[in-house]
Amino acid sequence: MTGLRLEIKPRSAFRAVLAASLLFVLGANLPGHLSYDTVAQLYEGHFHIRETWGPALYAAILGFFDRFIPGTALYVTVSGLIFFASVASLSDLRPKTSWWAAPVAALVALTPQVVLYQAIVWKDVCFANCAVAGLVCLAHAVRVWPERRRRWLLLIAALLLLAVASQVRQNGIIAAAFAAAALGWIAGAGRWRRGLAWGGGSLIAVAVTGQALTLASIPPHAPPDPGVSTGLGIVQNYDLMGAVTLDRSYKLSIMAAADPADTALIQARAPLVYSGRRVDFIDRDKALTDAEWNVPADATSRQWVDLIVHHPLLYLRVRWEDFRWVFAPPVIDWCLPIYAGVEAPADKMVPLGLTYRYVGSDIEMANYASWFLDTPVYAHGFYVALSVVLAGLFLWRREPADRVLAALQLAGAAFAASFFVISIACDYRYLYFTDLAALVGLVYAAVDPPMPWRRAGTPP
Amino acid sequence: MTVSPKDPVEGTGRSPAARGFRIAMAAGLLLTLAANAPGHLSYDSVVSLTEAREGERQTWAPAISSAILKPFDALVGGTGLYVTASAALLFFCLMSLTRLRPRASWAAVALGVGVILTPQVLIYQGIVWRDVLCANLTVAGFVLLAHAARRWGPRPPILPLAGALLCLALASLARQNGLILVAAGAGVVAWTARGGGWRASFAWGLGGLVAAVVLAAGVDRLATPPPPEGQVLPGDAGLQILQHYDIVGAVAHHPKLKLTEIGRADPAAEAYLEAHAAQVYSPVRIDTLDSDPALGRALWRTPAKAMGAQWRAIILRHPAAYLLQRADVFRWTLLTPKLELCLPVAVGVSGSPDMLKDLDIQAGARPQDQGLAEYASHFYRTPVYSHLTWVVVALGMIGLLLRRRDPADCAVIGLLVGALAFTASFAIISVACDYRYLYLMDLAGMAGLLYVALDPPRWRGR
Repeated sequence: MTGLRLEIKPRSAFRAVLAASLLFVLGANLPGHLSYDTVAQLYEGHFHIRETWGPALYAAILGFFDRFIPGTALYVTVSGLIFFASVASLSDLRPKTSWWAAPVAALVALTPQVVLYQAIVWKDVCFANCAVAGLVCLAHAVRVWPERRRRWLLLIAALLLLAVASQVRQNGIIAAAFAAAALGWIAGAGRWRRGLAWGGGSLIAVAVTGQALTLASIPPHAPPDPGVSTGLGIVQNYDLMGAVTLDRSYKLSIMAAADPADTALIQARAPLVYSGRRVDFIDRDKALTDAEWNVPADATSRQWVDLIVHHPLLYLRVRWEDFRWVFAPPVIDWCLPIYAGVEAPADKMVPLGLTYRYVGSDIEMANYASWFLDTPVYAHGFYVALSVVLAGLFLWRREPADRVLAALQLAGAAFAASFFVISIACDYRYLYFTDLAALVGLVYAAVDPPMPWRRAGTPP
Repeated sequence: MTVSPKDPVEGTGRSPAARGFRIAMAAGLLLTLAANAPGHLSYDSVVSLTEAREGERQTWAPAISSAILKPFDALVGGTGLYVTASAALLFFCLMSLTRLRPRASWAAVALGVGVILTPQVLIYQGIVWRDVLCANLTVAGFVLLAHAARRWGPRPPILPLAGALLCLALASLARQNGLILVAAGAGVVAWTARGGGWRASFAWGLGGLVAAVVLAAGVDRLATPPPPEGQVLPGDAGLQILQHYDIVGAVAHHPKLKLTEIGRADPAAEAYLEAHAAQVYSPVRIDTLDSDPALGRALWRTPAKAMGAQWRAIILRHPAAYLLQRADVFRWTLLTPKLELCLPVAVGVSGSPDMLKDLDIQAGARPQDQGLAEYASHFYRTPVYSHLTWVVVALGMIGLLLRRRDPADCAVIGLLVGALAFTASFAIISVACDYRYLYLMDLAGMAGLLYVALDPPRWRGR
């Protein structure tokens, strides 16, 4: 006499899995994991000061959430919500949702990149979430293109998210560039001038909005922002030390002309400490560090240009040595693949009311993530390959949203490639966006598989 | 009296206001987690978590709280997942209220935001207390009964009924007087099934009651871990404590009262209790009796049989003294005249240092915890932090819903009546004024208010 009626639709199951996953991430990790970089930026955001050369906008974002609930719990919640809501909305981009979507979403949610990283308070995670959400908003905008009001609201949301993304990572503009290309392609509708206007205009809008946000987030009386000059100086010194290490016959002649003593010291001691793994090892040699910064910056820059222009193969060897460590670390354990807990110097923690934390739950989360080390789940190369395949499938189907999701995949791969030029350490988090873009693409493919043998479609 | 069996819920919950209500509740859940996770633990909570982790009975409090903590703690150490699941249970149930009504009002969205911002929701949902668990399970149980009632037909919906049975059975274990809620739930089922005749109604009601009691007994048996080797925890400790408090309280209210039953077993104890009871007694909480170790010894060294006889003798032969004592204690529990004395909120993690070390959880109060305590204090002098307010709200909502009396309304009436009866039971069993004891009253009042606000009965027929 009783009725057992259970009607579950694939779309509901997909969204339920994602809602449960978000709650699990929050329940397992809140108030979040904080490393030194995080605490330093939270300190800046909390006290409205500028002490590091980390992104001013990221410090301001942390400070904003800290004002409502002290600490990072609200920030982690909102950041996680942005990611999971973006993924959940993928089912709105397709005319139907397959039964593959829910299990694939569950598997993606179980990767350390989601279940742990989503709660680590790192600008790399903020960048990845904003870039993914920005491109997903763009995908929704192109889907509802004829509805002007909705389209513009979604475009503005995409603009803001991509503007934030472009400011919290130095090479974050790559994601915006691919979004702009997709927008230009779709909005141009075959007319290249129109496409160029949409694409170029949107990229400029992202860059300008990003700069405006950064300027607005720099506290008053802050020291002048070094911009990219500090980062560039570090890369130049690192490259030159790599060059003299990999080719002992390479001479730093331009630098020597400006500062013979310090250059001689660099030439002699760099091979002893240089490693493609990370630039930090150079700091172990105080004399070497002093010497590299004693040499006039102008001479170092000219020496670096000389390396690129006159010794391109050596430059590429140096860069390859650095890149292989960040892209496919030979020993992943040396590249900080897992972070849990709270740790920073007391002078930054105490004023924020933070205390050192590495408790049972942190140990368990770190232990869980460690199961995936040395598997494809923890390999950027795997995600780049996945992105390339997915981009091909999406471009084969080529519906408007497919083109934007293809742009996301290509942005992930291009972002990884950009580290060939700028990498100075092998931290796993640097290429987090590459992993996340591929995982989101995988879920999108599972929602409505773009199989070559069946061309499911909605009108563009 | 029953709605169409074909698709009684078609079209519900799709209005913009209904969506707005669900979004507000989802945001409330996330805000609650951000504000509190991994949860606030008092001494009792730490003991429960220790019991869950070690698998050995640590206290005479209901074992269900540690049994429910156990799987969450096993998955990720601590209480973060438990707090998430507990809060999610409440908020998802509140979200589902929109599926019970054919329409929704924007006033409910505004009220929903207001309810989320009360300390009873925003902070209490992050406190690891069995009172919170009991309240959440109770609300969930009755909301599931409302869904079942709305879909009731020739083939009653088994899934919401089974869910309600489980929730109410667990709720009855979480608090000693939780059986009242099971009885109220059985009443709702009987009322819902009355269309099949009084026999069917009686069978559903009694069957539901028996099923819940049997399920609760089975779960309790499975959930109760063995005591540590060589230790025996008294099974009736709760009753003994209540008897001690009532006897001391009766003497305090009626100084000429003679404790003759105790005197027969231990004349010295009788003399000491009669002389000193009034000095240590407080209607605020039983704990003040601990301030006099000699009095404690007099109480605990007197044989339990004599103590029980004395308690019954006071009730039967000196009812005025007993009623004065009970009325005084209940006044403090219900009205909390000095809220600060009644543990209105608990934030951070505190407990035995040894237990905390073994549990490997972070102790102390974080800046965000201190902020929450300060936030709660803004409500201390307002009606929001008063059980009486929620009693009045519940009575008002019952009155409104009785006018309409549709199937889901009856379940919500059941929730409110059950919560009022649960509150009333503290007139007999209360031993302290801790605000959390009547937490169910506040939460049920809020849930009833939101349900009525979604689709006020006066709109019927428009």
